[in-house]
Amino acid sequence: MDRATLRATLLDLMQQETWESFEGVSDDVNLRTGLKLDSVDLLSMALHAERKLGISIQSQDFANVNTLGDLLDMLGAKLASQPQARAA
Amino acid sequence: MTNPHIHSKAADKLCAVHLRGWGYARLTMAEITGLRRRIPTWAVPGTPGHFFKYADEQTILAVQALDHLLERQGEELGDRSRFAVITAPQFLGRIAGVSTFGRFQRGGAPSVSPHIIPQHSLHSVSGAISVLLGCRGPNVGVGGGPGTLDNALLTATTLFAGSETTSAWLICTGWDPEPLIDPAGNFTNEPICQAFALAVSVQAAATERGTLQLHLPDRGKACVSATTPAMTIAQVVAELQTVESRQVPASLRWQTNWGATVDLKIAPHVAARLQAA
Repeated sequence: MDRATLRATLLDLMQQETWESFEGVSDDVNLRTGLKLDSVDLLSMALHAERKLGISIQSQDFANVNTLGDLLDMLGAKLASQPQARAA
Repeated sequence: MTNPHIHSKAADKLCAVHLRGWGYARLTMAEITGLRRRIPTWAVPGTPGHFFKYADEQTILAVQALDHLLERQGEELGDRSRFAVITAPQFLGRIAGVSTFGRFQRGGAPSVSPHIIPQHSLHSVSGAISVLLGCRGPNVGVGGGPGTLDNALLTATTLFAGSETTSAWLICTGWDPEPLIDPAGNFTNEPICQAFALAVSVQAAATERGTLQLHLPDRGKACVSATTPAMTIAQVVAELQTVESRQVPASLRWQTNWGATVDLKIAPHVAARLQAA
């Protein structure tokens, strides 16, 4: 899955989770202060992402995730390290 | 609870608070669903639009009852963020619990929403109110079961002893009738969620709207009785509706299941506005 597709998939999950429209949002927006996602929102999204992307996400994976771009980087690395993963 | 004045006249004074305002709400499930995207105007700036997406229905009712209070008395109450928050939900999380257990049985832990813990636990309602108001005082959920109203009033009349906090939002919520849910998760009745909100303070004010007093039982006479007739949240809501519609004061008195007597005196709001029930 390329980054653009991953980005679209992630934004779709976020919109379902928050009812907000993220059209035009940039990668450097902060997840907490910019998108108003709290820790439980992020955990819930991680569970959705695991099912959607067929990957396993651990809590420590979020250690350096502050922005949307950081989240995309983390998910992209997870997908790349699990070539058997399938998109649901 | 230990208090050196608990069996004296001083105790009665200690266990009395002033009502600075009140509000209530009664809503069906369909009406609650329609409110999930509505953030109250008094919420702190920056409150996310999805704040109520996973909230328990009783949280939404608590907010509606508080909204009813604030729209009429809000200006007279001063800095709202200095209030403590006491909420008393009754059987919170039953509805969400049904689908959660079903999902868990079918798909294990990963299929369960993590929102079940922060949104459907005893302290969820008080936490949500505290966040919405930006409160810096304590917030606590009390009761949770059949005696939740008595637990709430006991907390509201004793919270202030030895505390810097002088005012609190006291909000009681519950269903009447309770929702009946079939195995598929559908309602087989038409439950009504009810809530009332009181602004209570140890400080008297010119805009007082009543009093709440707890008369403690004499030493040795305290009792625990499951047969004592209990006041319900729905009965209090009905009384508040009557006070509002008829513009006459009301006085409620009942005995708790541990022997204390509760006196709740309610005065009408000036120029009260009728709210559709």
